[in-house]
Amino acid sequence: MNAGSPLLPFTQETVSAALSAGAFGRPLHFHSLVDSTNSRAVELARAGAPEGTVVLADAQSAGRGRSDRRWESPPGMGIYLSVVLRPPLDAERATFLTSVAALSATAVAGETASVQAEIKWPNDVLAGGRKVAGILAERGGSGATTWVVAGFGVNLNHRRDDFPAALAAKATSLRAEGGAIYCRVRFVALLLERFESDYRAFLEVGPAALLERIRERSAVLGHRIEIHDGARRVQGIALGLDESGGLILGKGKGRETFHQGSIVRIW
Amino acid sequence: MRVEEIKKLIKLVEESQIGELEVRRWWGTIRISRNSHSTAPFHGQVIQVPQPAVAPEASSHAAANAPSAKEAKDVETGLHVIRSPMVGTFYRAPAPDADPYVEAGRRVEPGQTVCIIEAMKLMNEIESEISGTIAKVLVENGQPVEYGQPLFHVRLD
Repeated sequence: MNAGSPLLPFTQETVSAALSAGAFGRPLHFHSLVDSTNSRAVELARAGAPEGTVVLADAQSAGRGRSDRRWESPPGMGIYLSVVLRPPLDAERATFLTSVAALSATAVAGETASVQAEIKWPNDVLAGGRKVAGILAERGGSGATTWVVAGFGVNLNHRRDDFPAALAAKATSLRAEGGAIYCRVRFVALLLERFESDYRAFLEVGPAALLERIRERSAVLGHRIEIHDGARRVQGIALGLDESGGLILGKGKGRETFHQGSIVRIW
Repeated sequence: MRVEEIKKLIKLVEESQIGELEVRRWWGTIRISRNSHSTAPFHGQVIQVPQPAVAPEASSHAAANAPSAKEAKDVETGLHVIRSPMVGTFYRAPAPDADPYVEAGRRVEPGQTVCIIEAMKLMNEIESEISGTIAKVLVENGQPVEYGQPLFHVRLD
């Protein structure tokens, strides 16, 4: 996709017609306005929706980030999309799914706008050092009813002054970085195609199938960072990712691997 | 592995002379067997032909041979212990300003969400597998927890 491609109207019909031959996006639940695509997808998952079921919205009235932080979701600008998954994975192995989703979103964002998009471990997508997309993943049920919902929020066509003042220093959009307006229909189709292929590779081979691509796109590896794990704030050098996607932090002569926590600062 | 792939494997066994087929993946092993009583030791998923039952939960690498690490009954005290199935951060409520899923003294039923464990930004709803009354909440909200760490004591009915 490039800036010269036409902008298709964002509807159930146009998105359905643009989807690749894969399973993700079938069925597609399109809403012009929904409280939260993740909340709706979780409801569908609990009710038995099959893998690949997608909830997509033009706008969200109560878009959620992690820890219930609000995700600004005005109409006409962004992508708010949640996918129901039924991976045969226990809770520990399923944690890598956020990294899979972040990789897919980073790749499609970078290619769409010809910008350098990077992954802020484990699940944020940055462009120009600011957040351009986020992943909210939830898992529940047990045994045969286990579900995962992977939610994507992508700032596509926001102008800089579309963001609230409090977010302006932290958020950006592909339009702000790439200098063009991008077709949301094509973006959704590309994202679903890429995510399905990355997800299948992960299920077949494990994290090893994707780790090299994740490392290449990391915004933190090689940098001094500060991570907050709920109990402690720890500083160190982000040395690498372990075989399950955990972040290896170098502290003096020692090292510690994190499977939880948020990076609060990158130098 | 997709359900369709598993169906294909089942068909393969049905149409062949094979007694058993074992397929290994990084997350576990699926065995499709004609006989209900297999002699070989196995800790993965067993799918029997001709009435296959597919359980998507793979055996945990750390707990394949152990009783469920998530919940285990403490025989001495008569209390059931709900344990963390993973390393992560413990959350008692779905949002910072929301009511906790459960409090001490509150009843729980099988399938009821009792907390969230977050790891790698995946929010895992942890369900009770038993019915009883929460006797004690053992971890503070927002604290890191280890694999198998006790989260709640539950007094069984």
